[in-house]
Amino acid sequence: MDTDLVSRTWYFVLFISCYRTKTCQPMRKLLASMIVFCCCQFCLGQTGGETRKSLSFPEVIRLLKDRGYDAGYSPLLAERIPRVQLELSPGMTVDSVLKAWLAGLRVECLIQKEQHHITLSFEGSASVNASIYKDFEGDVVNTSGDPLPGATVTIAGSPVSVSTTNNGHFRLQAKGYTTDVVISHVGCETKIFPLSNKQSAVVVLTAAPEGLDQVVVQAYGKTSKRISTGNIHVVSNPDGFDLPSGSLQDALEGVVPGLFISEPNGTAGSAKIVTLGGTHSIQGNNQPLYVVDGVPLAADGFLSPIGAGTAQGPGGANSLDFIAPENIASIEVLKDASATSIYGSRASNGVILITLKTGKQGPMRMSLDVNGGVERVVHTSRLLSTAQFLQLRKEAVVNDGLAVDPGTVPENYAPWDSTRYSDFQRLTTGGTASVWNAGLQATGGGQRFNYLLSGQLHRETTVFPGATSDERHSIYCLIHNQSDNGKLQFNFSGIYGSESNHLPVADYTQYAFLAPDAPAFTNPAGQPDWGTPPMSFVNIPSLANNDYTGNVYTLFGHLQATWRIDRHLSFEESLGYNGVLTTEQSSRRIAGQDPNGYYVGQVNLTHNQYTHQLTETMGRWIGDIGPGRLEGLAGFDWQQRTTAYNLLLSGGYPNDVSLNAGVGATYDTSTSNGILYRYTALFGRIIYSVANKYFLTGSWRTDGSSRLGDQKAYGDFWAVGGAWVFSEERFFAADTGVIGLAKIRASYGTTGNEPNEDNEYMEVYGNSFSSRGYQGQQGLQPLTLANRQLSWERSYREELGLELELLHHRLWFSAAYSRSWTGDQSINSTVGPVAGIGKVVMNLPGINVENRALEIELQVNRLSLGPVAWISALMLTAPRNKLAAWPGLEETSYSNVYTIGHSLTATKAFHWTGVDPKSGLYTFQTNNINGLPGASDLVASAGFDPSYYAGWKNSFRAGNVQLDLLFDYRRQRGYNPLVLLAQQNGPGSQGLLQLSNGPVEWLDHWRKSGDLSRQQRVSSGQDPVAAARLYAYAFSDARSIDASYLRLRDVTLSLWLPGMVRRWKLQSARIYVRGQNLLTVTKLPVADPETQDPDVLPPMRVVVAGLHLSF
Amino acid sequence: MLHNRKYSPFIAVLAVGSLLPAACRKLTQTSPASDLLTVSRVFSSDASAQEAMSAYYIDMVYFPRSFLNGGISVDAGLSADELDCKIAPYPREDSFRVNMLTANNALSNNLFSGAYSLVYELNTMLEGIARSTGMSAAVKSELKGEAEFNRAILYFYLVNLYGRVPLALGTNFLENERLPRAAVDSIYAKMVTDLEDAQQLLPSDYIDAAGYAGDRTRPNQSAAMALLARVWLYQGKWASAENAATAVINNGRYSLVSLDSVFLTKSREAIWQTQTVHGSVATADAQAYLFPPGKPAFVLTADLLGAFEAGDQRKQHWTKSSIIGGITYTYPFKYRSVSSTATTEYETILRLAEQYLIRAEARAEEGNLAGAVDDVDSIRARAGLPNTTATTTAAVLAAVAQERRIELMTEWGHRWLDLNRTGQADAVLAAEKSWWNANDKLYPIPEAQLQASPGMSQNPGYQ
Repeated sequence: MDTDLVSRTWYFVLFISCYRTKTCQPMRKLLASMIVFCCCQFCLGQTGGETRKSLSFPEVIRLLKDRGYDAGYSPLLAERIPRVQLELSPGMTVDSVLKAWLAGLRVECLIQKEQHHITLSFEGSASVNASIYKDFEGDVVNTSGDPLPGATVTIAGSPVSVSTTNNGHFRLQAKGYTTDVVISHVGCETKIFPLSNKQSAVVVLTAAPEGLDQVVVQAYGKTSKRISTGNIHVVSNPDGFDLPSGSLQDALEGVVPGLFISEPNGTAGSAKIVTLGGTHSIQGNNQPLYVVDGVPLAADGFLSPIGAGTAQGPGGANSLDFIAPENIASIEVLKDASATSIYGSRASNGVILITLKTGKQGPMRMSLDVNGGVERVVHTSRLLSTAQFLQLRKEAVVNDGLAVDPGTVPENYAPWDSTRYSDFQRLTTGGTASVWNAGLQATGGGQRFNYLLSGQLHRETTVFPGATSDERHSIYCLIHNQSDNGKLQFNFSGIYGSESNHLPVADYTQYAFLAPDAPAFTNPAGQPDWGTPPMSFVNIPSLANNDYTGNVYTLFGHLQATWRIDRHLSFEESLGYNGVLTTEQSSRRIAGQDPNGYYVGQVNLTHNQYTHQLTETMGRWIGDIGPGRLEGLAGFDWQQRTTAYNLLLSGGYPNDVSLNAGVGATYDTSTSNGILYRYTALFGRIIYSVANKYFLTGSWRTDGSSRLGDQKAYGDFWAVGGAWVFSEERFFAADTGVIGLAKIRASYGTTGNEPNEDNEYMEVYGNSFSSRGYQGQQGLQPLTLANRQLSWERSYREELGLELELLHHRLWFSAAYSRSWTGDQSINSTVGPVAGIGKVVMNLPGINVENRALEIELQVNRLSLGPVAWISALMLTAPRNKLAAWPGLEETSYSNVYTIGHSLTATKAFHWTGVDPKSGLYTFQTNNINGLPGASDLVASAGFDPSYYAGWKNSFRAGNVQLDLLFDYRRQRGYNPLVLLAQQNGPGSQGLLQLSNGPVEWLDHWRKSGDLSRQQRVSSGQDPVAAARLYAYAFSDARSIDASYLRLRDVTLSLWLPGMVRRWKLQSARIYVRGQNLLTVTKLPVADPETQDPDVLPPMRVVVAGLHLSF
Repeated sequence: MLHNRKYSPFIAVLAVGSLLPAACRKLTQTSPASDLLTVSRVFSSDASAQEAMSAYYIDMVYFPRSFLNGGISVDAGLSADELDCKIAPYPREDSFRVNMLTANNALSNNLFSGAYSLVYELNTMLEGIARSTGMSAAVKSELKGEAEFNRAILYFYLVNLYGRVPLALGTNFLENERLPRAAVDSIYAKMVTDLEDAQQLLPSDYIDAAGYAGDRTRPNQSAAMALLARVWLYQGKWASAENAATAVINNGRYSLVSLDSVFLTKSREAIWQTQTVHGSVATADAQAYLFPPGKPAFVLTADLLGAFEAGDQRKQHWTKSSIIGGITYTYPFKYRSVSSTATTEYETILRLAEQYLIRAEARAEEGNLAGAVDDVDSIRARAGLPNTTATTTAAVLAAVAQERRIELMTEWGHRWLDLNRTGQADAVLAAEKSWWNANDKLYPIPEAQLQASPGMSQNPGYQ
C-alpha cells in the first residue's frame, strides 16, 4: 500500500510533466524527475587518482555523498537511469562530477546553485523541473536499524506530508521549504530537524512515544494516553486556532465527544452554553471548570453577566473570549472521575484545561496571520406578505363572528396603506457584518531561555442597523528560563486583553415580526415616525440611537517555578492572577423611544471588577518501587476571588444633549456590592505503572470554600482508575498489524459541585424595602435563613473505556461508556412557615440525577485516495439524562416541572393531539368536557435533550492544496418556534401588538370543516374559546419538536505558496478561505435549530479569506 | 526510600499542609457580600442593631392588611359579627366572613407565615443581642425589651387565632419548621415571662428619634404593662390584670381623649401606635375602609349597628355612611385620613380605653362591682352615654362586654377574641350565621406547615 502511495504520486507527477511539456520520452521523464539535493556547499576533498569508471546512478550519488553532499532519490529512478562512463580525478568539485556525469547521459542540463541546493534542470521547460525537483527521499529506521513503515514525514508549517513505505522509505516534495522536517511515528519520539542541517537521509527514531504515548496535559502535570486511566480528550493547536469568531469554543464545537456546546445567540461575543457529560445539577451551575495554565478562569456566572441587557441576551458576553485562541497550544477536556476528581468540589461538570503556547527553541521566528471576511445570518424564515397577513386578519374576524368595522376593528390596519410592504427581516438583521482578525507572533531562544510574544486583533461588526461592533485586542508573552544544570526553572506567561463592545441595547431580530404594512419610518416632514397610538410601530432606525458600550480589560498572569532536587524529587510553586475590569454604559435616548410612550432619557453605568489570585505549592516524586514505577504528587492550593460592582442608573434627562453631557438627571440610584470568595485545598495523586502495561491511579483532594456552610466546610473527593494495555501481553500475537495497540481502562470516583452563590449559607441582613424608614431610621432585616449545613452537590462517576490502534496505526478507535449520579442537590426549597423565611437553599437528600453516555471516536490517520491524502475523525456521543430519584417531589412546587424517570428538560405539559378537523380547534388529552386540559392533565413532555450528536472532521491534501471540512450533526428535540410566536401573538390576532406578523407556516391553518392542518383556525383574540385553546397549546407538548440538524460548520480551503516562500525567503506561506455555518439542513421551521428562538439572532454564516506567513 | 533524610522537607511540607485547612478555617472564611451583613456584624454596634429594630417595625407595618397591620382587624372582624364584605368582590376575604377557611386559604396562610416571619426576625435579634459584645448595655436592654414585647404580642394573636401553635424561640430553621404544637398554657407562660422581662428592660418614656418627638410608636414600659394586663385577663388572673391595668391608668402619661382625637398621632390615649412607612398608604384601617373612595369594601354588620345604644356618640364619630345607588353602606370611620403625605393618624394597637375595660372586667370578676362600674362609666361618659344601670355581677360583665364590643369595634379582632375567650362564640354567632360550626373558632394551620412538619396536627374541622 505504501509503495503504491509513493509510486502513484510518482506517476501523477510524471503525468503532469508530460502534460506540461507535451513530450513523452520516457528517458526525459525519468531524468526530469530526479533531484539532487545538497545541504552543505563546500569543495570536494581529495579522493585519490584519476580513474575512469562506469557508474550507476546510486554510485554517482554515493560519490557525492563521499564529498559531503546528500542526495535523495527514488529507487525507481536508480533502476531506470543507465550507467554512465565517468572520468574521475581527485579534487573534482561536485559541479564537475555532475557535469561529467550529465555529459555522459547526453541530456542537456542547466545546473543552478541556490544557497543550499543544486538543482539540475534538464532539457525541457523550467516548469517541469520546478514541479518535480522537490523530492527529498530518505529512510526511517529504528535504533536497531529496522525500517519503520508508516512514519509521518512532514515539512513543518506546510501541507507536505507523507508516510514511509513498508521498507521505511519516504519521498517528500521539499523544494521551496527551509523549515523543519518533522518525522513522527507511533511508538517513537518525534524527531525535528531543520532542512539546512540535514546530513543524512537516514533518520533514526528512538522508540518511545506512540499513539498511546502521546503527551497529554492533565491536572497538575502531563501524562500520555497509555498511562492515563482517565478520559482526556486533546484538541491540539499547533498553528493556532485562527478562528473567524475569535472564540475558542468554536474550536471545540463538534469535535470533542461528550462536550455539548450550543449558541443561544448569534450576536458577536455572546456567551455559549457548554455542558460536559450532561446536566448534573438541577439548580446549580452546570458549566465546566476552565483552568488556564493552572489558574481557574473567570467563566460566565463568576462575573455578574456583562453585556446582559444588550443584543447579547441574558447570558451576556462570553468571558472565554478574553483568551485569544491563537495563544492556546492545546485544550484538554477532562471527563471522568479519574481525570477530574483532583479538582474536587468544583469538578462535577468536567474540567477544561487550556494550555498556553510555549516558546520554540531555535532562531527567532515570526508568523503573521491576517484574515477578513463577511458575515450574514444563517437562516432566514419566510414571513407573510402584506396580502397574506391581512387575509389572515380578515379571516380571523369572520371566524370570530365580528363585524368588520374599520373604525373599531383594526383588522386591516385601516389607516395604513394595505398595499405597502416592508421586508423587516432585511431591515433588522439583513445587514452584512464584517470580521477581521490579525495576529503576529515571535518566538525563539535556546533551551535555557526562550520566549514567545504575540499580539492579536479581532474586530467584528453585526448585521444590525447602526454602528455596532465588537473589537478585541490581546498581547501574550511567555518567558521560560532555567539554570545551567536545569535544576531551577521558571515560566512566566501573561496576557493582557481588552475588548470594546458597541452593541444595540436590544436584539433587533424580534422586530422582523412587525406588521408588513407598517408605514415608512420617516414621515413626509422628514421626522422619524412611530405611528399614533393605538397604531404604533417600532421605528427601527431610531432604535439605533440607544446604544451600549462595554469595555473589558483583562489581565492574566502565571508564574511557575520548579526546583528539581534530584532525579526523584522536585517542588513547584505557582502564582496566578486573573483580573477582569469592565465598564459598561447603556443609554436610552429620547430619540430612540416612541415619543407617545416613555419619554425620558436614561443612562445605566456599571463598573465591574473581578480578581482571582492563586497560590499553589506542590511536590513530586518519581522513582521505582517494587516492580514498577511510581509517580506521586501532593500539593496545597489557596485561592481568593473578589468581585465588586457599582451600578449607577440616572434618568429623566430632558433631552439627548443633556444626556450625553450627563447633566439634568431628575433621578439617580446607585448600587454597589463586593463579594469575596476563598478556596483552599490539599490534593495528591499516585500513578503506579508496571511493565508499561498495567497502570493504577489514585487521586484525592480535600477542599473547602467560602460558599460551603461552616459546618460542612471541607469535603473529601477521591478517584481510582486502572488501565491495562493488553496488546503488550504475550498472548497477544505481536505484529499482526491489525491491532497495533489496545488498552482498556476503568475509573470510579467522586467530584463535587459548589453552591451557585456566595453567602448562601449565611444568615445575612440587608436593607429593608422602605425608603421612609421607621421614625426616619433605615432598616436592616434578615434576608436569608442560615443553612450552615450547605454543602456541595456530590457526583459519583464510573467509566469504562477501550482504545485501539488498528491497521498499522491507520485507525484509532476509542469508545467509552460512563454513568454518573449526582446527589445532595442544592435546591431552593420551601420550608415550613414557622421557620420564618419561606425559602432556603438546601442539599436535599435522596435526589439523584443520572447521566449516561456512550462516546465513540474513530480516527483515520492517513489514507491515500490517489494523489489525495485523507485524514478523518468521527466522534459520536449518545447521552441520556434522567432524574432518577426525588423523594417527595410531588409535595414540592417542582412537581409541575420535573418528572422522575425523565430528563431534567422534560417539563410537564398538556398532551397536544392536533387540530380537530370539525371545529378547527386545538385538541388535547383531557377528560374535561370543554376539551380544555387542567392541572391533572399534565404529562411529562419529550424534553429538549440531544439523543445523540456527532461531529465529522475531514482533511484532504493534494500537493499544496488542503481542504478541511467539519460536519456537525445533532439529533435533538427543540423548542417549537411556532409555539413561541403564537404565545407572542396568535395568528390573525387583532391585538395591537406591534409584533404581529408571522411565518408562512401560519398559512397551514384550519379554514373549513374537514381540513387537516397543523394550526387551529385563526382568531382575532376576541373568541374566548379559541384563545383558551391557544393558551393551552402554548403549554402543551407541541412545544417540543424535532430540531435535529446537520450543519457544515467549518470549511477551509488552504493553498501553500512555495514560490512566494522562495522569493521572499520565508518559512512558509499560505492563503486560505474559510467558511462557517455555510450549510444547515433541518426540519425546524422559522428559527435556527441551535438558537431555537425566532426572536433571537441566529448564528452567523461567515466567510473569510486570509494569509498566513512564517518568517 | 521515603525515610531518607533528604526527603524530610517533603514530608514536612506534607505534614504541615495536611494540618493547614483544618487549622485555618480562615483560609476559606469570608465576610458576606458588601451589601449584606452577618448577624454578628449587625449586632456589633448600637447603630446597626437599632437599624435591625427599625427593619422589624418596617416589616411589621409595610404591607397593609398584614398580621399586625390591619389584617387581624379586618379578617377577625369578618369572622365574627362586625364586618360584612358581601358587596365587594373579595372572595378570599369572604371565606373569613362565611367561616369557610381551608388550609390553603392564601389570606389566612399569609397571616400565619407573616406572623412567624416577624417572630423569626425577633428571634435573630434576641440571639444577636445576647451574643453581642459591641453594643452598649443600655441599647442592649432597650432592644431586648422591645423584641420580647413584640414577640409576646405576636404569640398572643397566634395562640388566639390558631390555638396551639409551635413556639419558635430560636433561629435554626430545621428545628423550627418541625416544632410540635405547644400547649396554650405554655405559650401564655412564655408571653408573661417575655412581657415581665420587657417591662423591666423598656424605658418608661417613649423612644423617639429626632423629628418624631411625642410619637408613641415604639413600646415603653407601660405598653408591656398594658399587654400584660390583657394577657392576664385572658388567663382569668383577675388580680394581676387589675393591678397591671391600674398601673397604666395611673401612669399619668395617658388619658381618655375626645372621640375625634383617639387615633391621632401623639394621642394621649395611645399606649402604642405604629407609624406608616408605606409610600401610598396612610393607615391600614383607612386603606381597608376608605380606599378607594366610593363604595366601601367592608361595611359594618346590621348586628353591630343595632348594638349601638341610642345617643352613643361613637356611632356618629366612628362610623360613616355612603349612599350609592340607593343603598346605604355604613363603614368604620375611626381612621379618617387617606393621605399618605400629611400623616395625622397612626395605627393604634394599645390604648387606654381597653385598660379601663380590662380593669372593669377583672374587678367585676373579683366582686368589686362598684369599681367595675366606675371604669365602665368612664368609657360611657366619653361616648356621651349615661352611667350604666348594671348592678349584678352578670349585668356588669354584660355591660363590660357591650362596651368592649362598641368601643373596640373593628380594632384588632377584639370582638372575635372576646367571643372565643368568654365561650359565647357558639351561642352568639350561631344565632347570626346559619352556617356556624363550633370548629370555626380556630383558623386552620396552613397546609405548607403540615407538610413541613409531618407530626403536626390540624385544628379540628379542617382535616
